[in-house]
Amino acid sequence: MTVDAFAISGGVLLFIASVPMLFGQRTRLQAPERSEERAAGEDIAIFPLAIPLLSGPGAITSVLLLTNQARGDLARIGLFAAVIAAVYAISWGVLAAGDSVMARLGQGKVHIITRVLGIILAALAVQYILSGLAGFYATLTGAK
Amino acid sequence: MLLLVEEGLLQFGLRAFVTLFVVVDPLGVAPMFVGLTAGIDAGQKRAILSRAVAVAFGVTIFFSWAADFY
Repeated sequence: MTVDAFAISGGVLLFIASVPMLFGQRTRLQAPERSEERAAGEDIAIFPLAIPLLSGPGAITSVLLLTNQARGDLARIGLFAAVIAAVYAISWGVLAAGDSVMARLGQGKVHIITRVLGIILAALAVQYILSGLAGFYATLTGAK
Repeated sequence: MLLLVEEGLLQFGLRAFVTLFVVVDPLGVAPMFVGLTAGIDAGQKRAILSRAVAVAFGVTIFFSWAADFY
């Protein structure tokens, strides 16, 4: 396996994750299975909230790719750790404000935001695939 | 990673932030959190949320650390 293979496979996985977002269904990668939904009183913090909702295959794949792209540069690795912390801090705030946010935005706007995020995710996925292909092409031509 | 060679520190940080924010999708998770915690009192809701975010952060950091051995 090479990092290029990882970039391409990660891109494909992210693209698959983006399709249900685009078509307005919850991602199977993100959403809990209906049959596995919480029985009364069961702890929901770890499953399904932490895994797979907040830290699903999409997040893990992205983190693996981005860490590889930091290529051992300590500044980038440190910055990336700060970015991860920031994203989860924001997520905490958004979820804590969940009820009022939902009330203010309304279901329709949430759908729109999900679709826009889906388009961005699809484009990011293709960018990963292109980077992987470019890296592979460079290996073929001996430019690397 | 030919396309990413010229990328600066700030661009890397921004790209990392946008990528992670989009895949974590807090705005998409929020309605599910509201649905899952319906009928739980506010204090307990906070405790569940803090634990969930802490675990998710831990898992993500773990994979970022593990990627170094890849």
